[in-house]
Amino acid sequence: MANTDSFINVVINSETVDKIGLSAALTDITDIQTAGFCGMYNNQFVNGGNYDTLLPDQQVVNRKTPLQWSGPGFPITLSAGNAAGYNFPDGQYGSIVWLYYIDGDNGNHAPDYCITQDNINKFKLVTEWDAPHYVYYPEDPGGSQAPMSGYMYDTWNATPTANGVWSSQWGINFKRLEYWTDNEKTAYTAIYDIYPYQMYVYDGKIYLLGLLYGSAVPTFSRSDSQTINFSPYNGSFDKSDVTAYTVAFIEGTFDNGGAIGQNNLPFTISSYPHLFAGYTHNKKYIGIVQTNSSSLPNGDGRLMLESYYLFHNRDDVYKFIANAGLKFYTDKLYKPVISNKIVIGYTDNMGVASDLDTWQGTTNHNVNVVPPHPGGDTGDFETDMPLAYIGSTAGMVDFIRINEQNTASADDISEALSRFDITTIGKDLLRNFVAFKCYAVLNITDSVVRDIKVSGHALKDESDNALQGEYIGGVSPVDFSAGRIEPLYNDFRDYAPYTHIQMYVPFCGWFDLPSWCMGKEITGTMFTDLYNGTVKAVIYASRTVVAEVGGCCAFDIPFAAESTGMKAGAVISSALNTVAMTGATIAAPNVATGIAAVSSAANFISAANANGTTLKGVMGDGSNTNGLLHVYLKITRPNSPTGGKSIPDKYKHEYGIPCYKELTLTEGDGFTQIMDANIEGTMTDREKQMIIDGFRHGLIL
Amino acid sequence: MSITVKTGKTTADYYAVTKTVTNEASHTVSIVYPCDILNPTFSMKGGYIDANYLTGAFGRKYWITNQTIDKGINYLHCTVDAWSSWSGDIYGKNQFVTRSEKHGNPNINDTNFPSTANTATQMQQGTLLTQHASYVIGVI
Repeated sequence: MANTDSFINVVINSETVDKIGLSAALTDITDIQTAGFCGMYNNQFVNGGNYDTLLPDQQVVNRKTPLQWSGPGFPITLSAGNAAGYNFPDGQYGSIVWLYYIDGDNGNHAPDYCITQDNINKFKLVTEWDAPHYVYYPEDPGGSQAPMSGYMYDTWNATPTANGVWSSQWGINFKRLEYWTDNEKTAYTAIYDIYPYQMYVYDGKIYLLGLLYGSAVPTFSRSDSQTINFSPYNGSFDKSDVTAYTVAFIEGTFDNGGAIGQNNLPFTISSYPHLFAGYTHNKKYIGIVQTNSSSLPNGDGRLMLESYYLFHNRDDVYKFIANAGLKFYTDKLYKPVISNKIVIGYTDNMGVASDLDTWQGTTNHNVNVVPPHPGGDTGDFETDMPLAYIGSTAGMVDFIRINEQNTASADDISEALSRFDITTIGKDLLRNFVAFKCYAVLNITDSVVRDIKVSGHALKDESDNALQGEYIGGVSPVDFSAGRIEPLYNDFRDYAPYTHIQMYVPFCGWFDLPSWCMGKEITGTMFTDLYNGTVKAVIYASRTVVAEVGGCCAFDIPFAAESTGMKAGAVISSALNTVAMTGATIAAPNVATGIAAVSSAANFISAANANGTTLKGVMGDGSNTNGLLHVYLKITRPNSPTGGKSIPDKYKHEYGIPCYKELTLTEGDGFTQIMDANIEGTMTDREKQMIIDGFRHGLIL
Repeated sequence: MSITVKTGKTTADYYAVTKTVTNEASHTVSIVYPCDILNPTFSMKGGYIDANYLTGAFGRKYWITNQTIDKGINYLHCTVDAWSSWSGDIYGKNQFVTRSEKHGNPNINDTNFPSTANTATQMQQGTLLTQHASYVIGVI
């Protein structure tokens, strides 16, 4: 290891500096996660702490861990607190990356809400930085730490102005703004009041801008070849590094009027870290333009900037670059578990109040449960696709929904049927009008309204206007949720055989759920078979399939009753056949021929039924449509004999609770029972047996 | 043979390994022979002493189970407190613990804990699956 004198100790220690307090209130976003604040202090690089940090590849890491280090620095071990440290060799550069972000679903899914100029107000973001942001020279000839960059303070606490600029209470004139689009390089010259850590909307696009501070910031320039040189480096940056994004560059000079920040340092806006050659970061962008209304650029809803802190020892080159990032999300199947404002993990427990509420003392940030969805992207995984997406194209039968807006009603159909001239189309009617059902659950995803025709003959109302209906092109599953099964006792009594969990799904009835569903979010998806009205509900317990139940959600409408209409229809059909054969009138059918025709019609009915459709219907053919329409969970628990929910402490003290694991016996463990203790020592055999017997009863340690 | 012991009072549970002893007082006592070190008797001048615990004899700790007073002599009848005497051979050792006050797993069925036969039922309402029926006709 090299001499430590030639290294800068870079220390991240949340206890050494003031913390940044950051509060966030979001509407339509259910949670926020922030990270950031660090600086040099007392020759140490310190992290304001209290914020989670995230690697650019979006792994959640401990907040005490820098996001990313580059350069030849190496970790050092520090004894103080939770500090982590890094050394940078003399004469070398290194960088630290901090990423500020708002994250909710661990980057797994595209958010429901894309940030566009239209809906940016949904993302009303209020952040407050209430602690100074210092960076000091690592070593100052005068023996003190001269501030490298000054006070950075920014408040997001405003709605966008007319041009979508988020105003801040600390006004800094921004001289020039340029950005590139993917297809062209267009320089816009504009003067906006923009601020460090700022998001704004321009020309329908979202920009997140981090700004560079420092009294010794090198200058840079960007040539037409899209190469930006950053002195003293000659590194280059090319758009190819950010092909996935349109980036925004800022150049210019802050005119702070000598009034910005605690130390009244001159602020100079400069470049961005990806301009530094030789320091490779996975995310080489400084801003993201969101133009796609369906997904964010990287597909996971991430809008972010990164913070880079560059260090150089002893030489008078020392740079501090900071920018900020945000990541928007909708909290879906994963919810951040926040402890002391730190995201310590994610949970799929979506049925309880959001931790954001706990954090902020607010309410109504509960997440919406989106169960796994076949083929969709809103759930957590894709399931097998059952044969539920059945529409008119799936067979020769056109299914038409009526009794909807702008279409015919059931009565209209009934009336129209009676108006058919059976002498001309009656046979077609019977043969081709194959179903009349009422569905309780029918999630039509694709339909077109047009005239209802039976074998080419339009059904018409009494004014001879053609009736219209929705020709069903597709039926989609229906998602539902029963909520989380909350444990009551938080012990073995929450499970079988003590607690019994049942679930009710409309049209499918009651069924048992296994014990392991306790504590899980119960969701489900119901698939409807359009041909026969059967439904299949797949039940999930926190994304694991736990049950599959079936039922029927439709019943037939008796447009021709089986007992009479069917036979009547057969007779009519027979009569028509007779007419065709004999040329006689329908008023004088031949009885024998009619009987034969009935038999023939019966065969036809049988054949029609064989393909799974119903030729004639009767009420109440096995559907459960008269049952409950909500999803229910029923949890039956034994009452507590002690009155309270918890096992009494006195019981634990006198009897303990089952443990069954190897432990190192420690004073203070309390009641400890060991069925066959292994006692070694110089005690007498009788004493040893006494101790063994004592443990068999249970000793109090 | 005379030895010096300490007597005192403890309110600790009989099965407690670590016991707090108060009102400790030193006494010079004589061992009454023959002596069973697990159930020794010590004699000392004087009458009844307000104590139930004795330490300092034979490297062990004893419960004072009884006191017999005769002619100005108090006979302290003792029984060894085995787990307290040998706590050093208990603490720090790994054992397979079947029940524990502090380290138990509440999700392991505890048949010792009573359960009531009567139950309480909780109904939890979820999604309203449907409210509007759809009439559908099928035509060829």
